[in-house]
Amino acid sequence: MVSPYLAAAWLILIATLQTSAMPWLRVAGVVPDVMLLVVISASLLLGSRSGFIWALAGGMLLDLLSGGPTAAASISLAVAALAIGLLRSNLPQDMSWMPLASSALGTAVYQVSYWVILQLAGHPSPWLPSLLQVILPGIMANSLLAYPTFWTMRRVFGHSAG
Amino acid sequence: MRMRPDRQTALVILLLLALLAGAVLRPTGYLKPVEDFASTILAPLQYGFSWITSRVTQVLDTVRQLRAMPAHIKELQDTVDRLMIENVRLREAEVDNANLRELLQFKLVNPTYEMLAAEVIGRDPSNLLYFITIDRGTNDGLAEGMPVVTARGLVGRISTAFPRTARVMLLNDPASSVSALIQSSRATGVIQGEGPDGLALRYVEQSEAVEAGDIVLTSGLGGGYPKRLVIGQVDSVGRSDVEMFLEISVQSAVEFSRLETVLVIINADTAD
Repeated sequence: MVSPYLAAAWLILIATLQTSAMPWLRVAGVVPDVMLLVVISASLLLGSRSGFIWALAGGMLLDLLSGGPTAAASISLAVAALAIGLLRSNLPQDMSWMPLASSALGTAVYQVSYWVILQLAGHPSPWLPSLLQVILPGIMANSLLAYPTFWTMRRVFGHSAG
Repeated sequence: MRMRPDRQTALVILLLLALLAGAVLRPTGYLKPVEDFASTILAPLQYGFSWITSRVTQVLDTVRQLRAMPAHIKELQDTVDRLMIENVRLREAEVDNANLRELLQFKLVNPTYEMLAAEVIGRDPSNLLYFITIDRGTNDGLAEGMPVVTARGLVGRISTAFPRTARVMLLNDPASSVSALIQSSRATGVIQGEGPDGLALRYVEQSEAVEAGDIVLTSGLGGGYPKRLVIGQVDSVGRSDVEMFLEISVQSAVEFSRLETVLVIINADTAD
C-alpha cells in the first residue's frame, strides 16, 4: 500500500515540475507529459485501480494549474489510465517493452481525449497541426522518458507494488 | 686523526698565524697568486657540486610540489568552480539587464501606459493550450482582460486573475483573437491563434494589398487592446479566386516559448 502522503507529495512535485521546469526541456518541439508518464507507471506498478486514482488526483492538480476547460486533464488522464489498464490485463505482465508500449498508447489516448474535450468545451484547436505538431511528437517525447520515469517510480514506490 | 697535545697546540698556533698572515697580506695583494691557484684548482669542483646541488634541489622541489599538487589542484578547481558560478551569475544578470532595459525602453516610448512588470513562473501543462502564469495578481491591481506585452510586442491578455498570480492566454492559443491592421495598407482583420503554427490574420479581403514583411499592429477595435501595439510581421500571403478572404500567416514579434519577463498594461482602456 502506497502512503497517500508520499503519493500526494510526489504528484504535487510532478505537477509543479510539469508547469515550471519541463517547458524548458522540449523534445521534438513539445513538452514531455511527465504527469501522464507517472500515471502510466503507477498503473503498471500498482495496478489499474491505483493508476486510475493517480490519474484523477494528478489530473486535478494539472487542471488547477491550467487555463484549459475544467477537468480536461483529469478526464484525459483517467481515460489514458483505463486504456493502460486494458492493455495491461490483456498482455503478459513480464514484458520489458510494456513501459514503452504503454507510454505510446497512453500519450495517444491522453492527447486525443484532451483534444476532443477542448473542441466540446468551445476551445477550438486545429486538428491537423495538433496531430502533426503536438500529438505525434508528444508520443515520441514521452516514449523517450518512459523508462526513466518507470524506473524512478519503481524505485520510489516499487516496494509497495508487491 | 690522533695527535699528541703539543702537536695539536702547534697546529692551532700555525693556523692562527696563517690566518693572521692572510689577513695582513690580502689587502696588499701578496696573497693573490695563492688565491688564483686555489680558485683554479677548486673551480671544477665548485661547478660539479653546484650542478649536483642544483639538480638535487630541483628534484626535491619537484617532489615537494608533487606532494602539494593535489591541494593545489583542488584550490585551482575551487577557483575555476567559483569563477564559473560567478560567470553564470553575471551572464544571467546581463540577460536580465538586457530584458529590463528593453522593457524600460518600451515604457519610455509609451508614457501613457501604466504598466506593471511580472515574471513568468509557469506554463500550461498541456501541449494543446498556450497559457502562462505570471507572479502578479489582483493584489497588485491586475484584472482579467488586461493586455500583456514585452518590448517586442503583444503577448496576450490575462484570462484569469488570482490574488497573487494571473494566467495569461497567449496570442497563439487557438481561442485567442485580436483585432488587427496592416501598418502599410491599413487593411483590418482579426489575428487568431493557430497553436503550434503561430498566428493567422483572417478576414482581410482579397482586394487588399498585403505583402510578406508587412507589420501587423493592434487596431484597437472592439476594445481590450490599445491601438498600435506590434503583433508581428506578415510571413506569407495566400490568394485564391474561390476564397473571399486572404490566407495570411503572421510571424509573432514575441517568442512565446522563451518568455521570462512581461509587462501588464493596467490602464489599457484609458491610455489611448
